[in-house]
Amino acid sequence: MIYYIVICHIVFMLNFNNMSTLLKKTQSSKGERLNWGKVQSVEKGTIPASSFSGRKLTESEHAKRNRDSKTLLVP
Amino acid sequence: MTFDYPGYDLKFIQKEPYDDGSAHKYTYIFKFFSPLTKLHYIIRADYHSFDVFAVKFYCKQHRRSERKYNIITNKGDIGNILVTCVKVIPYLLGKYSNASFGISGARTIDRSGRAEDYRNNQRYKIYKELIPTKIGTNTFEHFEYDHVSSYLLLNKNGGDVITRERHIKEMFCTTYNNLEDIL
Repeated sequence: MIYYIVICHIVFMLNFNNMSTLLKKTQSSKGERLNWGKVQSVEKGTIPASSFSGRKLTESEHAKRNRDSKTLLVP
Repeated sequence: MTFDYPGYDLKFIQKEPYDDGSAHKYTYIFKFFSPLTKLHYIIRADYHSFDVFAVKFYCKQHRRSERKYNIITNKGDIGNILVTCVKVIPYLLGKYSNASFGISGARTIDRSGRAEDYRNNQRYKIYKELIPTKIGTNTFEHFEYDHVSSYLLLNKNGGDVITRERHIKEMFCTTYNNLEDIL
């Protein structure tokens, strides 16, 4: 009887391990979860600088972001 | 968000010439080791015309991968790693007092080959929080480009800020004509 229980336990554990490995393999990647697109090659060409809208950080925005900072590497 | 990490010691490796006729002139290469992740990291600071460095880093074990800047190692210690990368700025300022610095957040490519959008990506969101906590406004003007996940530290010593910012932007657009692809 004891042998039977031990064998059942071993069989169960083996199946459990296989199941978890299978689950890991089928688990979706971060890109799939977040619905990222597939990598595609982009044709080379000059990108107009005007299409990049940048903005200067104001002193108050900067101060807000580094309010918890203790050390600055560059003043 | 706080980034009060000491970072690690930077080791200068070499100054590598890059002579392809573009605005990219040469590259300073550094390395450091993280005892927590037990991995070595490589930092490359590409010097361009207009006294601008583009700072990038990757984990040394991915050095042969064409997606070395896009891979997430997921080993932790990101605070110390990023602070160590920022340490390149005062080091290079010691040699080039008028230098400006550009940083781009590479989009993540996961194991199934899916890529994050290049606009306002997750690396860039961290960088734009980190940089103001380590770099002040006395030396640099800070510019954000959410559209291309890039951040520019423009040195105030070099003259008219607005004109130089426009020139630098144009220079990067011409030099990296596959910008959408590499970001």
